[in-house]
Amino acid sequence: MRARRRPRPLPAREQVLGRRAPGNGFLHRSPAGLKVAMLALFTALVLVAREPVVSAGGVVLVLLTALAAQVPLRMLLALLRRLWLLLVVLAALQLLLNDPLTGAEVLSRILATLLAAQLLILTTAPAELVAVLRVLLAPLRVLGLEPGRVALAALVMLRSIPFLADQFRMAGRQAAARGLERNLKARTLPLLLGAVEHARDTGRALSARGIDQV
Amino acid sequence: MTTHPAEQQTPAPDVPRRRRSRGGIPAQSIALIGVFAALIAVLAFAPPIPVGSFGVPITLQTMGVALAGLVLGPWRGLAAAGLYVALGLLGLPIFAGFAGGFGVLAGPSAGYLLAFPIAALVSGLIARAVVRRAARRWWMPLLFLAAITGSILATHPAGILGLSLNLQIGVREALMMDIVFWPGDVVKSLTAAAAAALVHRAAPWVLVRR
Repeated sequence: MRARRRPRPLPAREQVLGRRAPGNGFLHRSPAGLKVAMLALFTALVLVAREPVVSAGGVVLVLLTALAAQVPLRMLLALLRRLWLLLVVLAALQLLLNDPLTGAEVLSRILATLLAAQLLILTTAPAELVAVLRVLLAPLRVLGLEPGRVALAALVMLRSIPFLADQFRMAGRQAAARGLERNLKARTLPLLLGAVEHARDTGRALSARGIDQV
Repeated sequence: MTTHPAEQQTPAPDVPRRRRSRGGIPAQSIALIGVFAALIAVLAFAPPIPVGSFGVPITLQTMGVALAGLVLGPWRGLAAAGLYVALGLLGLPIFAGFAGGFGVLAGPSAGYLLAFPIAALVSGLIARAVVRRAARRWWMPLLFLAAITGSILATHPAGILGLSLNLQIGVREALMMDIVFWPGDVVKSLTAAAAAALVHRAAPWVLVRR
């Protein structure tokens, strides 16, 4: 009798959340709200200044901070590997349309702000960011917005991302198996229906736990 | 698609009873908002997929936004897209290319991102009127109009403005860069409209009978 073929394992999905730098430097320990505020300040400075010196200095500052906080530079610069195509296109465009100095400023500005944000992500847990969002939304209470419920929706979102990412990959493989890998509808419709179903189940689970009575 | 008359009379067994909480958003809406914000994120970091006989690669980020508006209606669509943008700006790596943080405000896609909630709102306003008033056979074309209207009124003008400001180029050059996205936009709006029409038929509890 022929041995049953073992199913081929699915390739691992790209990890989105929880990509946290190891270690326990000062950035890991400082509160998330402070880091978000610093990032906002830094971005605003670089955006307002629009000087090549400031932006380039910003890149250096981010790299030095990463070193001081024991964040591996390899993890920080992994961002460039994912965005290199965008950066190359931007560089070409700037050389075409602008003078080199403006081009250098635009590129270093984008690099500095993206790397600074990456530094925040690498040292902060997603749930901490949701807590920051909740605090930031507190003033909107006067408009009838409940920060607690928004935070709950954000947590539902965090939970749903890996689930939907798997659904999307499965939909792609199913479409490919039917020879429909170039059919947008075949690749996205299972994801959408899965999302609606997942939302219904989640909504019922929330109701069952008495969220509406709170 | 024709609908069987009996189908409309039998109440769907899985319609959750709507229970208004004390002035808050009902649990089902919280779940829908959270899950659709996740849907936008998942579509945003999908690699560009080749579509059609020419295999032109297109990215799916704006399709998630259109779906949020078309499926959830105006306010929950606005909330889902707003939640996505807000968490992305705070630093979650959920924008295209796993970027995140206020840094994207300095990048070329800033205008597009900030316009997403408005686009979902505009599409949602039209979509809600369509699924509640129009006959079912008109849903697909009218939902397509809803999606493309949101895109034309919100996403593209803001996107062009963002390109022009952040790359320090003229509005005309920015418009030229933006035009590249138009054919993909039409394809995505068509698909989103067809998919949303299907959801409204299969799950009327989401928007039609709300």
